[in-house]
This record gives sequence, C-alpha cells and structure tokens, in this order.
Amino acid sequence: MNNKDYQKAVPDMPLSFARKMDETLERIENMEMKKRKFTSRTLVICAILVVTLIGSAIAASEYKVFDFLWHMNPLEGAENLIETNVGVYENEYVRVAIEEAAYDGQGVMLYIRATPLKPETHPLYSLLMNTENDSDWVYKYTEYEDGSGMGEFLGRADGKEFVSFGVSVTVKDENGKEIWLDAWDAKKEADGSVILYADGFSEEKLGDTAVLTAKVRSHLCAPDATKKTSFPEGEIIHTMPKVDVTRNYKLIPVSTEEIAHFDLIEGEISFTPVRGYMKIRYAYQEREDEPMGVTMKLCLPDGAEIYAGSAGSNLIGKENGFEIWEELSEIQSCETLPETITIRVKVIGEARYLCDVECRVVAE
Amino acid sequence: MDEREFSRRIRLMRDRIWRVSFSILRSTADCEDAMQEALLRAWRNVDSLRDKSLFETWLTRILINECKRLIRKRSDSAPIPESLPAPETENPELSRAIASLKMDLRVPIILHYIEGYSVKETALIMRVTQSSVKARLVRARKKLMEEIKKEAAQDE
Repeated sequence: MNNKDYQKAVPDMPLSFARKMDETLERIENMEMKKRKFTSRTLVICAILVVTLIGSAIAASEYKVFDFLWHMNPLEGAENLIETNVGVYENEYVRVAIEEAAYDGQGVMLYIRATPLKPETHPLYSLLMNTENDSDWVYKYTEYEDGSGMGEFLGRADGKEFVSFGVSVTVKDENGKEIWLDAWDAKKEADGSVILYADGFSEEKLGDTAVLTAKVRSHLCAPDATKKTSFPEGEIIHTMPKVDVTRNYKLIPVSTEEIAHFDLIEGEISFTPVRGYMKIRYAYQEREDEPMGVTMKLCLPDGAEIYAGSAGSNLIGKENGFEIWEELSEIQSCETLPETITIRVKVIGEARYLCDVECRVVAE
Repeated sequence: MDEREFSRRIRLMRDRIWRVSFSILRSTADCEDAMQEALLRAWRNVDSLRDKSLFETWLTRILINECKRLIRKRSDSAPIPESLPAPETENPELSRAIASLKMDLRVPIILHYIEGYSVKETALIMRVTQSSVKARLVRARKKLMEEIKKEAAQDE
C-alpha cells in the first residue's frame, strides 16, 4: 500500500463540515470584534437601526435559560415560554434538576442544575466543564518544543473520589419529528453545583405534542478518574406545552441581477420571541472556484447584518441541471422587518460574496 | 496572530482538518463538533504558540486531542442520536481496516500516510519518541493487512 491508497480511505469533505468551519471562524472573528470599541460612525448607525427593528429585548430577567444565547437577545414575551421545575433525578451523590425549559414550538433551551449531595467528599465533574484552569482538577500538562502545551485530564488534585455525570436530551412530537439539542455548555458554581445549558432546534415546527426525555448518567469515580460504580440511568420525561407564537414572513426575490449559476427561489422567516428561523431555497450549480458552495446572510437595506447563529443545508432535489438547496439558520428575532431586505450570498470558505439579492418581505 | 491570519491559516488546512478528524471519529456530525471545539481552543491559546511556523502541527495536535475528548465524552455521558452513514470512500476496505485499529496505532497511520507528516513531526504531534512512531507504524501496517485479508476471506 502506498500513500495514495491510504488517502483514498478518507472521503471528500462534506459541505456541512465546510459550513461549520466557516461559521466557527466567523464566530472567532466576531469574538475579536467584540473586544474592539466601535469607532466607525457607520457601525454605530447600523447598530441603532438593528436595535430599532428588534424592539425591546427582555432586560435583566429572573430567568437564566437565555444566558446561553450570548449572541442573540430574546424579545419581550419570551419569558412566557419558560417553564420552571421541569423535572428532577437524584441518587445518593447528585441531584440533577431541569430548572428552566424554554420551548417556542421549533426550538428548545434548557437550564439544568446538578447539585452535589456530598460536596465535601464527592464533588461533581462534567466533561462539559472547563476544568483545565481549575486547581481542583489535575491535568498532565505537556509543554512542547514550540513552547505551547496541552493538558490531559487525570482526575482530582485532592485525592477525593468524585461523581462524573452527563445528561442527554431529546424532544420529539407525535410524528417522530425531533429537536436535536446539539449545543451544550457548562459552568461550575461557587457551591460546587454545575449548571448545564442546552440548546437546539428542528427544521420545522413540531406537532401537537412535544415530549422532552432527559437521560441522566452518573458514575462514582476514583481520584485518578477510573470508574468505580455506574449508577442506574435516570430519566426525566416531560410534555412541553403546545405553543404557536410565530410571526411568518415570505421573502420574494426582486433583484434583476442575474448570476448564471445561482438563483434564489424564495425564503421564509418565522420569528418567535426567542429567535428567528430563516429558511432559504435556492438553485445552484457547482463551480470549481466555489468548491464548498454558498451560504446566506440576512441584511437590512443599509447593509447591517442580522445576527445568524448555527445553520445547516439540505439538498432537496435537482432541476434543469441545478441542485436545489434549502438552508435553515437561526437568527436574531425582530419585532418587524422592513418592506425589503437583502440576502447576501457568501462563498463558503472564502472571504467573498457571490451577490446580494434584494427581497420583498410579505407578512403572512 | 490576529483573527484574519488565524482564519487564513485554518482555511489552508481545511482538508487536513477534515481528514484527520474523520479518520478518528468517522461521523460527520462528530467531526464538526471536534473541529469547532479545536478551533475555539486554538484561538483562545494561540498566543501561547511562540514559533508560529509550527502552527499546523500545533493545531493538528489540538484537533486530535479534541477528537479523543469527544470519544471519551460520548462513552461517558451524552449519547448522540444515530449517526448518519459515513460518507463513501474510494477504498472502503482500507477505510474500515483503519477504523478497526486502536487509537495509538490509528493516529500515526493518519498522520504519516494520509497527511504526509514525517516521523519526526508525527512524534511531535503524538508526544512520543520517533522510535515509538516507527514501531507503531510497523504494527499498524501489519494489523491493517490482517484486517483486509480477514475481510476478503469473509467475502469469499
């Protein structure tokens, strides 16, 4: 076997991977932007315009579930979609409670608290926690020739046993349509409890029933992180209330500019008080200089971009030599939209745009 | 290194990031998660990299660690929904054989034969000696041949 044989053992990169990489790099660039002060007058004006459209975002709230949405601001009314004290699992070492759940018919966010019941002798550990800079935990830190280093988790610094736990959640309707919670984060509180945030959304609204099933796994671990005992799996089942709080808009392309290999067919935006869900259907022909295809951004007439979070695309068919794609992304919720908006078509993996498509906005 | 230079370098490594993560995880969704975590971690720590010419090997090491961390996470806590079928490859027998290798043998095969890293670079990424890399490559090749022969015998 030679190197070529080995290389053939790996498939070509799928489009979704390239999109996710683009999204991550943009997130990194935005993180850096946040550190800078806005000195540009244009940027300030754009920001004011966006805020006007968004309306009144909910201010400091008694609820915590939206803290995870660091890049988007839910609108007033979002707090009405939050349920509290959704369910609890407990064994002799840990109590896991879903304290808040926000469900808007298409997406769900959870605020989960895990409380150690023997905090002095058996602290909690979750793989989602950022423990590398926490002196309670031991990492084998290796410094390399280049001066950088990486840590490998080795367990407790104080020789205590600890309890490792994890929670997985699905939300399904009566037709099997599912919200996959694929975004998670964790933070440790001063009292040793661990907060988990979870977030996800489906491609379309769920049906009449939405059943949340949370499975809790936990293990008693030796100080060196080897498992000693696995506790029976816990389950929390809860039916989410049916909600219909969406405001729907159709996007009808009106631009006259023609791009030979791209055509925006139509778009839809559903706003709930929590966030927006934008679906864009387009026809596209692959080109060598765009190996990863294109992705969509929503912009106001003055060029200000409405924040878009995670996105995904599906190939839904082929027509006249074109592939028909549907891209779904979560976006900042807005109270209203102007009469026209612009869909900016970005080439994935490159810092260039294919075109801007002006669209008429029709409220439904 | 500013965010634009970081993005530019990552984009140049795009295919490598995919191949390395796929070779370890074999699920597109998992590869996306590992890649995202690796990039964020690398960006947070990029100032710790004194010799910027080692960016590629440094990033590859972080990616491999994230892949391993994800495997541990999957086995320990949150199970994932059923993975989509893995994308097709031109050499599925070899692909399956590589997937059957244990991680300590799989990673050197990926880095040396698929990514073209030298034995020295592979050793640096894996944090082992060069002689250990060579020994693992020999064992891995032997295992691969056995695995491929076994599969061929089952097909007959």
